[in-house]
Amino acid sequence: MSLSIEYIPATSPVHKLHALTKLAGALTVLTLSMLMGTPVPLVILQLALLGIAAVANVHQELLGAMKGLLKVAVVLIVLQVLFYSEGTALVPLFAGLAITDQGILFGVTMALRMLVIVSSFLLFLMTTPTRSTVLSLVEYLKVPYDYAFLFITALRFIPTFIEEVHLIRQAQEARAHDFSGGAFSRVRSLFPLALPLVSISLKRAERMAMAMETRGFGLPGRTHYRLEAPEAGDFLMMLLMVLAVVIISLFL
Amino acid sequence: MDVFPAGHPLLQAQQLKHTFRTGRCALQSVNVTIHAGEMVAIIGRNGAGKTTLTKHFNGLLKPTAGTVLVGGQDTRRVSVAQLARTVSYVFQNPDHQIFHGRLFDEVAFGPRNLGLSGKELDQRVASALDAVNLAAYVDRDPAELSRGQRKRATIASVLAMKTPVLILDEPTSGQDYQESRQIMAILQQLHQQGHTILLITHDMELVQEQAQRVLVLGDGQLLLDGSPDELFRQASLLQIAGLRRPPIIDLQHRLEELGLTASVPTAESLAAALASRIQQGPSVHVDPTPGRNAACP
Ligand SMILES: Nc1ncnc2c1ncn2[C@@H]1O[C@H](COP(=O)(O)OP(=O)(O)OP(=O)(O)O)[C@@H](O)[C@H]1O
Ligand SMILES: [Mg+2]
Repeated sequence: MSLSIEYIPATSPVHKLHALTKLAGALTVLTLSMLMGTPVPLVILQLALLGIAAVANVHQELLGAMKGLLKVAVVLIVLQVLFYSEGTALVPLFAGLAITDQGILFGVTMALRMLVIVSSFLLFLMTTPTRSTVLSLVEYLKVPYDYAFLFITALRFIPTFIEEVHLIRQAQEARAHDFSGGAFSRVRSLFPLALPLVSISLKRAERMAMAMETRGFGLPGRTHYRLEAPEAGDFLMMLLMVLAVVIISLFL
Repeated sequence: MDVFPAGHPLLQAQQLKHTFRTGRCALQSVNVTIHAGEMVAIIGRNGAGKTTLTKHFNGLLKPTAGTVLVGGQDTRRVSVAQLARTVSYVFQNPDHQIFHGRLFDEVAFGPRNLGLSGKELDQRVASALDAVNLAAYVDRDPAELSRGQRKRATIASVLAMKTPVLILDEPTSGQDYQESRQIMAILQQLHQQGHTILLITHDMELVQEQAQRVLVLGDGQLLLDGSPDELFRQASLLQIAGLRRPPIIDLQHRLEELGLTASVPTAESLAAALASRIQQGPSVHVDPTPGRNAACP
């Protein structure tokens, strides 16, 4: 499974939309999925997302991510099915628990909802450069730049972090450390990985803060090199989203 | 060492290819055999594939095509922890391995994993720390050490494992002159005791003085496998690999062009050859044109 949360550069109508529009889109999907209490509309919504992904030429990546999310979905369904007690019992289980029709329905709905929400945000992240996201957060939504920067840096460092985990693992294995083992010894065996990771990350944060300060980060009067303004198409899309929410909430 | 008699083929790469998941082909069809008891330097530009190659020799990376044998065993069939009994590895960045709050424990980590304890362990740690000049810091927190010292701590942590093969990724980077000499002296000593040593380096003087065999990597290919002498003779190769002869070799080659040979290229031998030649008379043609080579008045 590859859960891509990186920007995938391409020229498509979806890529061209303003970051705010796509963010609004993701939030719209979130709202809609909360309004929908049955599987069918959620499946339609997910198909629509896949359609948008195809237009943006990132459907391969989205399908890959969905495959990974499927495992999480299965866990969600199983948990709901086991512990949901309302509805007619289909299969009785131990300790008064039972598999009910409502339980299955509820579990599937929950899983689909999760899938839809995560997909919509993945779609947003894959088609929008982080720089544009931050820019619109700061310029239009008046988020303080420091927080926006924090967000983008956190995202930026995930691949570095994974790379680091690999290297540390290798370094300890090269000294004959065994990372496998029973559940109990497993936790202990992770110390040689976790401790250097924390210390490296702290050191890097400190170094980066220093490097940024020496280059004037935090001085007042920050300007932007590029400004992006929403266009007519963006306003149209946002209008459609509002309409979609209103109509669907009236009908469901 | 006792397991592998000198000259026994110990590390073998056959048609080794490695393509990273990013699609980057870091090694293309490398064939090389390292024998027990050899001391081999691996050089090449940044990104040439040096680290990638050596990580195959303790199983950290598995070939995407071809085979790598360590002591005759296919690395794909043996765990890294198992291979660590034969091959130990000093990483480029010391911070990827240090995690103990006390230097002693950091150095003892590897040997403990190999099953050592008690007196034997204490003794190994002590002598390893002694070898890298850190004996005084045995109870200190490694985090308090300088980067150069931390690198030496990682070298000690591998020395203490006393494996037949040692691979070191740029062991002298970030070390001052004296420390890097000392590290090399330790490696020489281990080499004499029969250990097989592979070291990645960018220090050409070190290659010239210490290695019997050099592997030059460029763009994932093995450009040369030979003696330092052979390397220094191939001007075009040096250029491709982005390398420069050490000044002393440069001087030797220039003098050779003028008909003056000194067999062993050390400052002393060259000076002696020059002095005897000058005493014999001015048969050495010295370029009289003042230019950027002219001496200061
Ligand atoms: N984990 C990885 N994933 C993808 N590409 C990698 C990875 N590790 C190395 N590479 C790439 O493989 C190539 C060879 O890298 P390698 O680290 O072996 O070079 P090197 O010769 O050790 O360089 P240096 O002198 O800078 O240490 C480089 O182009 C590098 O970008
Ligand atoms: Mg390297």
